Amino acid sequence: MQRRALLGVLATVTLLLRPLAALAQWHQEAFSAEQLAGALRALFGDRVPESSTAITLDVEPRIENGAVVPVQISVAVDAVTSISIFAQKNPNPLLARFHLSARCRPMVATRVKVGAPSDLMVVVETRDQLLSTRRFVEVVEGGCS
Amino acid sequence: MGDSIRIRTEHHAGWTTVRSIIRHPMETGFRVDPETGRVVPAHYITEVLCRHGDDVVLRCEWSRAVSRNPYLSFEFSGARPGDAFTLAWTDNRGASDSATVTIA
Repeated sequence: MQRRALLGVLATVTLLLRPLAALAQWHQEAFSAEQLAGALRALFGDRVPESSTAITLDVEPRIENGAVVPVQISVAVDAVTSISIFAQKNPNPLLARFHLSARCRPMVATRVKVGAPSDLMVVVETRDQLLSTRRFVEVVEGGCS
Repeated sequence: MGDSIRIRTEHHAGWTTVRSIIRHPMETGFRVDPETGRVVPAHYITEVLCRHGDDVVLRCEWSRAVSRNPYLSFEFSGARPGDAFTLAWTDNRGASDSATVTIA
């Protein structure tokens, strides 16, 4: 009986801790990757994103100051669960990753640093698809110092 | 608490638009302080959690390459004017802040 009570307590504690653990997830391996391919592999394994016109990546094609690059991403498909942004030539290509609940419109806007003229890449996960788009940006003054 | 965070919400036709700015240096760890000649250690937000009541609507994982004083905007459904919206961040040094606003 005592043992059962203890197991009950442990189960409750585990259930309580789970959401906290789920909140404290920062993908060390993906953020530390120094090449785009490595960051993609860390996040998506062997799955290769399919190039898609359903993703709109709004960014100025020519950027004076790479330290502040406004980007807006919107996706014209349902059930988007994550949006990840990469800059191919940054020291660590993965810039940011957004986990969207089912209540989010598939859209985020932020500002990022881009170190050198290169492709920006966006990868979108849906419940059953992995989609991507790329866009070259010209950077006059790099923003990674 | 919450001094580092500015949040504006707008509610229209069932959708809540969030626009926020967080005051944070977002140091990459590459920058050299011109006065001391030393490299300024990396100091950047790693996670941002956006909640409507107790419900997490958006979770962000950020790198040092999100710009200084980060801007974040997104939209979600299912909230009503008067509900609480909370944004909380944590950085790579373990510092954190959070702010709650009433959805307008």
